[in-house]
Amino acid sequence: MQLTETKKASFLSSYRVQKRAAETLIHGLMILIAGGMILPFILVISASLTPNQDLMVKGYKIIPDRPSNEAYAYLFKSPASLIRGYGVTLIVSLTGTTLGMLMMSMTGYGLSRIIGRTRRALTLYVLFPVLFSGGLIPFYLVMTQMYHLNDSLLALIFPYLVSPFNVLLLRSYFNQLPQEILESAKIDGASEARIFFQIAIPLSTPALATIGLFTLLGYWNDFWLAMLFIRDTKLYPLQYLLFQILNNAQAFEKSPMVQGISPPTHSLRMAMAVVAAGPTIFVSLFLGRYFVRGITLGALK
Amino acid sequence: MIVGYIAYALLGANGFINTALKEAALDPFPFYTKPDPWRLILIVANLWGGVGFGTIIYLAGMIGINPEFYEAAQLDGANKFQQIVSITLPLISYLIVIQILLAVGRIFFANFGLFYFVPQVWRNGALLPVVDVIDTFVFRALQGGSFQAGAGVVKLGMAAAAGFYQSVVGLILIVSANLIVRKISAEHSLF
Repeated sequence: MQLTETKKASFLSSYRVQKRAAETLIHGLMILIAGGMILPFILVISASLTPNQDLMVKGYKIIPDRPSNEAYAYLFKSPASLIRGYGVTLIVSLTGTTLGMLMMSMTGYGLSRIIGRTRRALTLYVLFPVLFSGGLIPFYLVMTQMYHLNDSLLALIFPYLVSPFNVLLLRSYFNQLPQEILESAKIDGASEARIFFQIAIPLSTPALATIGLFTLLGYWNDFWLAMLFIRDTKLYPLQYLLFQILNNAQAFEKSPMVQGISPPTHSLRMAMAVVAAGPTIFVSLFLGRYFVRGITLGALK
Repeated sequence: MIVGYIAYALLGANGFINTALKEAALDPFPFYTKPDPWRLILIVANLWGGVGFGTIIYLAGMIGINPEFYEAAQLDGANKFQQIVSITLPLISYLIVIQILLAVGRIFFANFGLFYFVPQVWRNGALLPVVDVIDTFVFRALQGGSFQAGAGVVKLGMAAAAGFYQSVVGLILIVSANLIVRKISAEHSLF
C-alpha cells in the first residue's frame, strides 16, 4: 500500500496538530504542578517582605500590598543570636563533613579491598544498623549516660559521622576503580595508606563530592540532635533556633537581642526562615548536578 | 523545619488560605484545632517535600539509559508511550524496587519533622489523635511526658518498648519484602 503525496501530507499535518495539542496540554499541566510546588516558597518570601501590621490585620498574601524591609532591617540590626546559630551550624557542618568523609571513605575502601568471607561479614556489619536499631531511647541513654555528651557540640557531630548507606555507595565506587592501578602501585612499594590517599581518593572525586554534599546538607538541616541533647541556648544551631522562634515568639522577645523594642514577630519569623534556608537552596541550585551524577554511580550492588 | 513555617504561612489564623477564604466572604477555618483535615495535609506536605528528591533519583536512573534503545524503538515505530513502558520502566525497575523495599522497611517510622513541626503538636494538643506517631510518642516520653496522650503521661519504659517494637517490625518487614522480591526476580533483591 502506498500513500499518495497529498494523503501523506494531510496525515502528517493532522499528526502535527495532535502532537501540538498534546504538548500544550502536558506543558500546561506541568507548569501548573510546578507553580503549585513553588508557591509556598514565594509565600514565605513575600510574607517576610510584608509589614508586620499587614500580616496581622490582612493576613498572608502572595503579593504584599506595601512591601517593606522592616523584618530584615530588624534582623540585621542586632543579629547576635542569628550569627551565633550560623556559627554553631558552620562549625558542626564543616567538622562533621570533613571527619565523616574521612571515616566513610576509609571504611568503604577497606571493604572494597578485603576479599573472601570476611568481606561479607564486615559488609553485613556495616549494613545492619540500616535494618535494625534499638530505637531512640537506648540511643539517648548511650549518648547522655555513657558518653556524657549533653550540651556539647560533639553530640551534634558524632551521630551523623558515618552513614552506612554512604559507606556502601563508596565501597561500590571503589570496587569499580581499575584494580590494576592499585596493584601496580603496590608492586612499586606504596603502602596501603598511600594507595588510598594518592590513588583511590583522587580517582573518586565525583563520588566523594556527592556524598560530601549529602553529608553537609544533613548536618546543615539537622534540628533533631539539638532537640535531644542541647539545652544551652548558646549552642543552638540555626535550625533549632528557628524552631525556638516558631515555637514561641515570647522567648524571642525576651532574649537580650531584642529587649526594649517590640519586634515585628510575624514577618520576622518568615525572614528568619528565608535567611536560614537561603544557603541550602543556593547550594542545591549550583551543586544539583552532582546529586544526579552521584546517585547514578552507586547502583549499590 | 522550613516546611513547618510554610505550613504556618498557609494555614495559620491569618494564613494564606484563611485570607483567601475571608476575601471570598467565607468563614475562616481553624486548621490548628481541627484534627480531621490533617490526615490529608500531612500527605500533601510529605509529597511536597519528597517529590523533588524522588524525581532526582529516577532522573539519574533515566539519564543512565543508553539513547540508542530509544532510537531503535523509534525506527521500529514505537510511540512515546510504548517507549516508556518497554524501555524506561524496565531499565529503572531496580531503582523502583530499592525505593519500595526501603520504604516498606520504614513503614513504622515517620518523618519526625513532618509530624511534629508541621502540625506544631506541642501547642496544638487537639491534633494529637491524628498526628501522633511512634516517633513523636517516644520523643514526648523523653521530654518527660510534658503533654498527655489520651490515658495519661507516656512512660519512658513503654516508649523504649515502642521504639524497639518499631525496629523489630521494620526488620521483619524489610527482610520478608526482600524475600518476596527475590522469589519474583532474584537480581532485583536488595540482599
